[in-house]
Amino acid sequence: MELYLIIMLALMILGSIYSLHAKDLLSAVVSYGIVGFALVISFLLLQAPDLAIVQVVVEIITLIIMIAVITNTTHETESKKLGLGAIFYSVSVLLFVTVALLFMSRFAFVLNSFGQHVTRMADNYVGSVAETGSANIITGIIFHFRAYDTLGEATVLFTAVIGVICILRHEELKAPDAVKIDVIQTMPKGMTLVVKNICQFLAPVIFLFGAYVAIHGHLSPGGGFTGGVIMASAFIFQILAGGSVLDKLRKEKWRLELSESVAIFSFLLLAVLGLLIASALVFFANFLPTGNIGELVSGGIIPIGNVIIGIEVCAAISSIFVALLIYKDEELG
Amino acid sequence: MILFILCFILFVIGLYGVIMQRNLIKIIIGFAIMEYSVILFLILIGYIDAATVPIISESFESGPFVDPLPQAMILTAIVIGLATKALLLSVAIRLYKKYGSFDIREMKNLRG
Amino acid sequence: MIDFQMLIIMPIVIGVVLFLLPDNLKIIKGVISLLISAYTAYLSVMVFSLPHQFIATLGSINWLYIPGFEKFMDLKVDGLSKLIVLFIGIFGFLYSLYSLSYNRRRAPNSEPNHIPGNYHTYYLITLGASFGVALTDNLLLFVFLWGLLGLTLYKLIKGHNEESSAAAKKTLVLIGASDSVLILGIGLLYICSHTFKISDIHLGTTTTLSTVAFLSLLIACMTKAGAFPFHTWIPDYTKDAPASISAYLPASLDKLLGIYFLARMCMSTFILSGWVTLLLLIIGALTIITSVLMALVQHNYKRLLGYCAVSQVGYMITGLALGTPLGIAGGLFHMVNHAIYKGGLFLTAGSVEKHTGKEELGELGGLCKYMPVTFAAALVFALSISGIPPLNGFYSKWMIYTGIIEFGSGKGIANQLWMIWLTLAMLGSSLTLASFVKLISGIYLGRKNEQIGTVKEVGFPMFFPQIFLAMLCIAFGIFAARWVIPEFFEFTGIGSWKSLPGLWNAPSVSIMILISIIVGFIIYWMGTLKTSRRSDSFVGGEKLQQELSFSSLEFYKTIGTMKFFNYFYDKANKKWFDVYHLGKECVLGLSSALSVCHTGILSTYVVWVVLGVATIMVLLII
Repeated sequence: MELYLIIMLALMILGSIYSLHAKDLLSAVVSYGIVGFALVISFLLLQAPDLAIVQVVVEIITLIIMIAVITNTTHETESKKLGLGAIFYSVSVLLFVTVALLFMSRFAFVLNSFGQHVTRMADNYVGSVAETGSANIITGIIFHFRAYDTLGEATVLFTAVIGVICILRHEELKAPDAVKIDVIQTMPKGMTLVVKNICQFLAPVIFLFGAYVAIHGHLSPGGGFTGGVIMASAFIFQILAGGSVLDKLRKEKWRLELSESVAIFSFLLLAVLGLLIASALVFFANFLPTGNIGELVSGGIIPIGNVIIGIEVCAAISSIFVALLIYKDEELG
Repeated sequence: MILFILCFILFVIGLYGVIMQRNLIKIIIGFAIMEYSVILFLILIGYIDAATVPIISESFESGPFVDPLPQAMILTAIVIGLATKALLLSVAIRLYKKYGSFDIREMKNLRG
Repeated sequence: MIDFQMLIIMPIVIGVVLFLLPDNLKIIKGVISLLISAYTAYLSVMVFSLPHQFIATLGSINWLYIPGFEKFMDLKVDGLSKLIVLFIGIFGFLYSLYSLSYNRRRAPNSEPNHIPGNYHTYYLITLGASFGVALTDNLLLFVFLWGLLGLTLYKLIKGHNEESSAAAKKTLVLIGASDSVLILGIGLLYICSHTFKISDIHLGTTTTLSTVAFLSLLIACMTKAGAFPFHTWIPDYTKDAPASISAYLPASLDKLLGIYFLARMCMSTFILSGWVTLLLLIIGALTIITSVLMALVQHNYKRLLGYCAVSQVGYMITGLALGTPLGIAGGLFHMVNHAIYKGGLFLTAGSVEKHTGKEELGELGGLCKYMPVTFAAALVFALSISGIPPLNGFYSKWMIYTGIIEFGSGKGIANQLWMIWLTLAMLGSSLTLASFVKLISGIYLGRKNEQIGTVKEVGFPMFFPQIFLAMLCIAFGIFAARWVIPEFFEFTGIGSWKSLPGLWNAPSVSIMILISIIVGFIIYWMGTLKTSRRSDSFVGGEKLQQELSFSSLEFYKTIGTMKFFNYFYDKANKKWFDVYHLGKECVLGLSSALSVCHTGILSTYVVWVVLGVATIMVLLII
């Protein structure tokens, strides 16, 4: 067990070293993918299937975005070295490493050795699982014990998407006439017929799978975040394979932004409803009956929260991708 | 303990990438590697020998669980990480459009 | 039983309500603010008639009652705070009346006056907070309201051009910095005495902690009241703020509250040791001399008044520092007098400014014919501030002088040096006279400047406060010994009223002065009974021109060119003595040194972050 993990970590280290030293940016990104996928396998070994599902989808989407960026800009890296500053930088990195090692040697006794972890806080969460009605303890933590954190994370995601959209906005978009001239392209290019057809079969299935993962988040590994990422990947496959028209993309982006905003607003509404309806008068109070653990209709507001977060994450990641595509089209066309 | 040290080495490699590289894409890769090493470290801490996935189920015996708290926190962190990486990449392509290269040495307008 | 909690609550609440009203209802807002300030003036008179040591709490008002917070809401009325509350009430009413007319637009073709938005809101909040500062018995409520005063002070000056924005910023920075020092001092006070109740604290300035606490509170008081070297915001502020606000805050309320708190510290909170007395006396003497020297060379009359306002603070600090009953009573009496005549001077300055639109002394002149009431009031105030008997300014200065002489009989370094304090105080007084001769002759006497159009006397809302304050000046001067001073001794509880050494018998002297003036007039009239021929001066056959008329301002130019003074004026113009300017230079220098770290390369910034983390780790290990 530990041996497998060591192998995985060694693979990650090798992959990261190569990706930082590769001459070509494309090979750097590909070997960076090795690190991410080795992480997925480590998660599976470490009994964390939720994380493995999320990570595998996130890694794919990251790679797609990175490769899209590189193919639209440049593969080349600079051959020149950093020069005199390099000495200063490397000295400070060495200094940091030394201090960090000292620090760790001082406080290492706090850590139990691998596998001998003693749960403290989580004992309470596991013990009071009946309170949440969620068979998946992780989902219970996310939407019940630490729901306030989740609201914060959803906000960060929302903010990041706004940031991406703002940065990639076309400068001349202010003049409404200029936009219309671009829309001459009528037929999407896309990939070959084979890929298109297969993708037309696959994408609904992937989307359905994502919805399943989100709705069953309180029963099986997964949840809103996982399901949202999977649903977003279905969108992205469809757009990549089928190609796109700028005009339609713009409409799509608008819809995605709208659904993201509505989702995060209804998440907030859910929290406030707890404040208004539940007898405890707590933010994010679980005001619905929790039901029996293990049934689909159980867990009170947790499945509702899962669905809302799923929509939010799906819309957020899709709109990031769509914003990148629109930027590319506007720059090139 | 060797796993923790390997994690730290991965972190230092990421840091090295961020500081010593002059290509923006590689700097972003460095950031991502640092993020992965921290994520992996937290999950490694939460692991317990012979424990199972923290899901209550009637078909399996619900024995001792691995610590669910780091997993719950990391789950959201991974998705946020994707969004921040996308943000960094969008900044990078904006800069590429302005300067015509990913070399940070060319972007000196911030000098105080 | 009157509910004098309303003194604090009502102006603040009504002020916030006025904030919500639209801005074009200016007149209605002004009337509401006038009514409120009239009511608080009435209440403050009622408070004045309360028994001593009266204790109440803000928590007795139902909707303010928060369980567990009662102890922060203690109010206490003793002799000193009674006095302050009375004068805050009177000034609040008078200046509200004045601003009713002052804030109205001038003639349509003239430039707009610079009244800040939501004037009445901040005016009323200032009023309520000032009452609160004077009445509270809890240091936390005190510091909250004190900070509120600094904020409203900032909001009451309008940044209409670069200079006035700089003045507003300077005021905010200096007052804010002094407030943070005040918070430090209060924290140290709590460590020393374990209570926030002001009336329970009695500390000696012997240990290091209590000394630092005393010095921090002293800096806060000095900045608020404006003493050297923290006074530099006052001249800038008075130059650019509306005159009603200059009269209201820096001239009256800030002096009253700053000196009130200083008096409270000197009298009950701290037991002063010898070197603290010496320090305070040095601050007082320096404040008197430096500011009045700066006032002498000013050309803008509002700035000149600002410098004189700083100079008078020196007398109050000197009086309080003496620590003898006579000195403290003199200092407090001077504080009240100063608030009266300096407020009045700013009001007259505001009247002149409103009707002429000019702010420079050189552009004015000969207004005494056109604004006789304002002139008469300004003359009374000017004589009073310069210490001409029998006006009130003379009486309080006289008390401080006798206090210094009496103080000189004691032992200790400060006592031995009494000659120096006395000389400097008297010199300051004569220089004040000199600067006010400049002001009066520059504005009201001499030949009228052709550029000024027709000038009318001010209307009732503006001249009533001036007349009222002038009457107070005269009344306080003549009847001081009989009615005012004994009350002071009684209120402040600093020993009994005994016959002062060198008692000044004001009524008989004033009668004699009056007689001599009348006799002088009679002689003058007798001399001019035989009508003489009047004609323009003969200047070699040329026509008498405007440029040839000599302004009295020219006499003051020589002071600036004297060798010894020239050096200091030169440095003052370069702002060497300005704490704010020095601080600004330090900060800017530091930031330009730090800009070396900004190489503009991403890696360098990451390195700074990494090194910062390393430093934190090192600190945690050690």
